[in-house]
Amino acid sequence: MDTRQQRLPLLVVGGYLGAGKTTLVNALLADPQGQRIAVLVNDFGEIGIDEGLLAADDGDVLSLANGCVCCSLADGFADALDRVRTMAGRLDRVVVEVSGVGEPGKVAQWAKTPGFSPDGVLVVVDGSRIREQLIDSRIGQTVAGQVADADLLLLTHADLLDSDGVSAAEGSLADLSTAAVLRSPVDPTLLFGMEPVAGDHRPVGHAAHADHVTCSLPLAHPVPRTNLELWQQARPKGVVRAKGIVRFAEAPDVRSVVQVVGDSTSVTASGPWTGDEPGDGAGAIVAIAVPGTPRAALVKWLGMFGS
Amino acid sequence: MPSSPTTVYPAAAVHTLDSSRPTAEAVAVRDKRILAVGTTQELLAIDGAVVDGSLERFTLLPGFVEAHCHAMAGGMWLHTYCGYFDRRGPDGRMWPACRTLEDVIDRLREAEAVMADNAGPTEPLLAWGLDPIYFPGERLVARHLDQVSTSRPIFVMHASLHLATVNNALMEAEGITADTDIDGVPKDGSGWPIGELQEPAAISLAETAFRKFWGRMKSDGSLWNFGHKARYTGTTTLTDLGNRQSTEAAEIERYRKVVDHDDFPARLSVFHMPVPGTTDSLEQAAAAVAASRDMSSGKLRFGHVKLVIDGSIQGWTARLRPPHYLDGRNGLWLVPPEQVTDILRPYHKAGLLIHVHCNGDEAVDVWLESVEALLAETPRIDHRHTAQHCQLTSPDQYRRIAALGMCANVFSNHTFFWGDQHASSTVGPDRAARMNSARTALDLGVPLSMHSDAPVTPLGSLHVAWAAVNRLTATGVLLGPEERISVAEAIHAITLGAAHQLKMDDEVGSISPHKHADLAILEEDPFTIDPVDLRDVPVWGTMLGGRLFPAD
Repeated sequence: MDTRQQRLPLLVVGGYLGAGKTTLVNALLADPQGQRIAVLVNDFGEIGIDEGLLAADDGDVLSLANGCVCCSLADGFADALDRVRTMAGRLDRVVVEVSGVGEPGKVAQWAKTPGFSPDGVLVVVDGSRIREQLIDSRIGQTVAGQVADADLLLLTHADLLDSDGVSAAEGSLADLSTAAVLRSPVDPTLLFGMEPVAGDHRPVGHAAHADHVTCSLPLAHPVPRTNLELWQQARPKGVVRAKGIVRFAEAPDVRSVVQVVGDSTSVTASGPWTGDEPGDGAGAIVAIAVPGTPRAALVKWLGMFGS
Repeated sequence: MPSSPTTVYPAAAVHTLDSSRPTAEAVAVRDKRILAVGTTQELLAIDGAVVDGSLERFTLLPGFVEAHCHAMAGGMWLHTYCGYFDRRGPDGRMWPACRTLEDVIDRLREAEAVMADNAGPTEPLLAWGLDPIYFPGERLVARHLDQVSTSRPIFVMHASLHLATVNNALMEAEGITADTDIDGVPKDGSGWPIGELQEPAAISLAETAFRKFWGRMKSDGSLWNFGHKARYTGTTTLTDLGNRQSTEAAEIERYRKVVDHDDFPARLSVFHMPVPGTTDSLEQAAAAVAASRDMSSGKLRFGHVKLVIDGSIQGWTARLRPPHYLDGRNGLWLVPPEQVTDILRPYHKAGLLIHVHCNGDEAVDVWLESVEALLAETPRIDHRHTAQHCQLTSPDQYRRIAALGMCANVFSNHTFFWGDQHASSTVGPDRAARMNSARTALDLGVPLSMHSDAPVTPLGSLHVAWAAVNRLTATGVLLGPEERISVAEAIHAITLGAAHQLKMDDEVGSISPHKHADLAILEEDPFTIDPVDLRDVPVWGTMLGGRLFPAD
């Protein structure tokens, strides 16, 4: 089995002080949707979990009854990630909370170290303050840099704004990034990758979430790898994630995994093609987009991949 | 008849730094403390006093107090030095400067030869101190290090600690290849990694070497090295600025084991570094730091706080007021500026002393605003909160510092080590001339000290003082002559000035009755030599608590 299949997907959560990273992290820990998540944070004090949920606390690692763990980043990323590597067998994924002034793009590089695979950079943005923050002489650069690093953006506090305010906030973000903008509270499963399931091309766990737009496409013929670049560029703005387990024409015996997280696309080889993969012989690809994304656009986009 | 002996040390000169009795012929020591100063005759009149002539050739000053350095300076010396300036190791050996990449290669070759006899073939060769700012237009890469060895992994940590250069043998051992897809691993035209690892994530790929490099920092050997460097620089009080784990029992024990040992030749004040958190966690942490004061001993001090809010000017990561850096950029916040007050509030309310690293002037603004807010909430008398580094501080900021009852610890060594680079590359000649403006600070009534920030620059208070007195860059350019201070002012800054900022001025910093018998023992009198020779005054050694520690 290719060791890359054993790599834990690592999602980076960045955003300035007060944007709502902690709220998001706490929501994930309270209801991880069946995922066993290792959450790395700067301070355990921020973690607000019910007493009943805490299974063990050895000072460096908090273990929760739902299979999640929290590790402190106080001793640095290298040590914290090492600790996670030792627990890899009982985890499904990792979420790293970057400090309020941290650079999410730099932290995302840790996802390319052994044992992990990049699962995107999510930057949380306070919709009610982002415009003033971006022009602030002291922190404007810092905040703009975070937005520019994002694969996905999560807009919080939009309820404090009227629709003009929301448009203005989203406009400021659009000036800096083409990443899809999610609204808080976010469906946690949008934060994670998805699997085209054999026989059913729907993203796992999305059955109940009718708000978002989903689409899947089975593939009958191996896909030319050269399609990929144009396909990436043609991505409709609302696309949050897409995943394909496919056969490329250039490597038809290889099980290739295509992952899209907002702006980022990665392709990895994940062992030999067995023939048991979902799809019509050459795999399948699924995509999920924010509410309001025209489904026809998604269908057309996926169609481009296969042609 | 007193129960303890009184020893009288006549000297060639005694400069007490005590304005009540600034000079003397001799010093009387009893029970590890200064009993009195005066003429030999006066002191011999003390009951039971006996003369000890060991120091009669020397000039005695108070032991120097270094209020900004790091215990890690000792740990670095466990690796091979290959920096741009001559530097003396903890055993006194002088390591010549590596002025070219060829020099670096030669230095590493020497180290490799030693390892060939003493270590296994895959043991990594670890080096430190390389600063690319001195090599514009050239880069140390793997093919240079391959000239040293194609079998032993080599890891050269840069001065910034955010960059490392490694050889092909290391990359092969750690699986760093053309397929390594991580931002900090630059590749050549044929797609092969050139041997630079940029930023912590990429550096961590050199796992064995990286772990070894840092693993030794907290060893006993590291602390002993730190102490040895103190002895031959005339330093008797050091700081470790700072440590996130300083309130933990195991960490306190680690310090005690070495520093409390009779042979450890210095006092050490350990500052705690807060971790940002919730109000509750910060209040708990502040209570723990306050409680850790009880763990202090004769030579160890716990209970002060250090926060870092920006980066460094020569690393392009300090936070500056406009016009920012020459190339228009600004640096990095290490803490969100609006969070500084919230983080420090519990510590301030607990009555603790807080030093904040603020290199750029925008960072200083943030610290000053924070102190003002904290004092408005919780007024305190004689808090002595200090702005550390404080390099581009303007007169208006110095006035505020004085008005707020704060102190400044200025990085005078920068004028020598990076003055030329500041003038040409970071902030330009005008601001470079205004950097570390000790004259302005003193004239505006700011309690002043100056520091080495070892290992950033070498531990050595005489050099720090020389830099502030002469303001000469490494190429001999006089940078900012108006900001020069006198020898007397500089020596005050490296003794009482520093002691004041550590709240230890009741016990060290001058040769005064009942203070610790801590002395810097010099072979020449710094008050009578040409000021340009101040850094070359030979240090015979120190006295700590009445015990002599010769440099050899």
